[in-house]
Amino acid sequence: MAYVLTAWLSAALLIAIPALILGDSLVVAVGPVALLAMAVGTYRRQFHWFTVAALSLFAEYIWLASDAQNGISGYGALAAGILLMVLLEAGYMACLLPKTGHSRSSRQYTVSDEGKDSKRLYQAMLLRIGGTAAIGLPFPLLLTWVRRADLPEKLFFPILLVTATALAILVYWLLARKED
Amino acid sequence: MSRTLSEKHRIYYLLAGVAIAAGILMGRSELVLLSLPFVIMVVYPVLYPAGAEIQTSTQVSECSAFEGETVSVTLSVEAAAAVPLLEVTHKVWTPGQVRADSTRLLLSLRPGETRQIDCRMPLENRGEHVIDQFQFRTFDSAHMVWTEHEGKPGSSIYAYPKLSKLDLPGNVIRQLGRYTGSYVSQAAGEGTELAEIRKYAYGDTAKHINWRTSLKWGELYVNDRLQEKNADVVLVVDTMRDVGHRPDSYLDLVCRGAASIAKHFLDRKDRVGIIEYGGTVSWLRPALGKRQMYRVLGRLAKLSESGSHAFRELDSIPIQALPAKAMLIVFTPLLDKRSTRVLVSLALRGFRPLVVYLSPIELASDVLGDSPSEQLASRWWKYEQRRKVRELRRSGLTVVSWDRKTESIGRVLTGAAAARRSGGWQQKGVL
Repeated sequence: MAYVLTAWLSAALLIAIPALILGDSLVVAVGPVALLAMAVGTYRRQFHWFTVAALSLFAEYIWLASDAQNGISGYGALAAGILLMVLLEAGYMACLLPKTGHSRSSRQYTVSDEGKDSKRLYQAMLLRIGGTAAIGLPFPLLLTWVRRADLPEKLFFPILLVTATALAILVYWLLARKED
Repeated sequence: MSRTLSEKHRIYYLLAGVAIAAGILMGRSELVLLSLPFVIMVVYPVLYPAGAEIQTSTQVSECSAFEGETVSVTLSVEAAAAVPLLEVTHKVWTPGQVRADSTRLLLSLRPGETRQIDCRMPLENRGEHVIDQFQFRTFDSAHMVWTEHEGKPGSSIYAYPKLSKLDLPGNVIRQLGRYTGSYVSQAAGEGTELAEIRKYAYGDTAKHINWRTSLKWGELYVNDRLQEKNADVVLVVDTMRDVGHRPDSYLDLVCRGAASIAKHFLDRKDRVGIIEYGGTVSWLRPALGKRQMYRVLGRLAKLSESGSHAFRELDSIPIQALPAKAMLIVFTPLLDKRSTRVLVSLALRGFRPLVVYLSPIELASDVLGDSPSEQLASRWWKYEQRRKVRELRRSGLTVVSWDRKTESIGRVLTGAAAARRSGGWQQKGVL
């Protein structure tokens, strides 16, 4: 229940904050889509519905970023990213936990120290989010520093593209290979 | 052990890719920052690869049980290193199911911690159950990569058919067959109970001479005793077709009835055997004792439909499996023409099989609809079955119907004894 509430709260914030501060018509269109997807995800306990909600919110932020004259502040974008991650993590846990221990038949399960598991999983989730936020904090500053440096504007995004592609390939190669 | 990326990783990978691509295309660095948490999470398993080692052991409370009884399985998991998330999938294979019934449990273990999972489950159907098959998956702390650990295949436990107590009076048993274990037979032979005193005939042994009577009448007289011999009870089961739904299908009911009869006669020191005929014919030779009881129960637990166009006659059965003068109790739904042939051939071989007929119409009653065409088909089917029973009775066989809802197998046998007493013709309410 706590995970579902966290997910809904973060989604509400992601919709409400841009609507209040920036004010945009797309928020009105995207908000119901995201909330509906989350409602279905909560009811059916399927993680991909939360992904649909996250993708629609992504679309909203892409729209806002393209629309904003001065751009969104670096920390604002990072906070939105963290909030999106909170939504997805909470949705993931909400889908993961209720499917356990229940059987269609009349089996009864007794797990020793059962209460510890959900507590530890919750703590691990908070640690994940906190850790990610802590790692992400210097990046807006770093980006500002890079842009202030004498790096030609034309080279910034091509370098980013090459780096991102290389990183994606490397990560996928390192993780997707199966070990026996 | 094999490592696989989780669904969550794929989704985060996609989200990070979408945001970075949008940022590059639009020339907006904010979108790259928006994707940063997802990039960190995607890269995380590369920096901290998962590889938790676990040790597991399972213990099952019983290796066999009766239908309806509850058995328990205990799984013990020990983690050498910390396991942020361990997914335990309990797979239970029950008879008649093509797919295993799975239950997922999640654990989070600290280094050196041992946890126990206890599962209590009733064995709802007779047959082979696999209840101690577990699969294990460990996740890294970000739940991005999971490692599959090989579990043991699981061992089988058998659920024997449920037993019910038969209250069969001695005279009922005598009427069912010629020889019965604890009961003195009507035939003369070796025994302790005196039958009569008669004149000595050539071939009588000296130990049977009644000296007092011989001295009184001046010629040799011998004691004749009633034969005491264990009965040979052979339970014949027609496995060509199974009708109805488990756990109350035709074969389930037959197994319960046959098991109860077997227990009753084995308790009375009789020999009990089984013959199954369907596409193939298999048998268990009559024997006595507790071990035979479990052999019979094991056979009945595994009993399944074995209908085939290929059919072997019962002629191939050795005499040890079908002894002369054995009491034959045949269970059949009379769905196949070959069943009638088998029964008649048994009668022609000198046996007096007692046919316990289970109406397939009653067993399939929940499938039959109320539409006029289905009602017509049902009536026609009923008439066809009646005709088959009538033909068998005309051949001199005792046929009794077992109504599963109202009658126990004990009452059916009592009814059969009454039918035998009255010559097998006046069987009220048989169909």
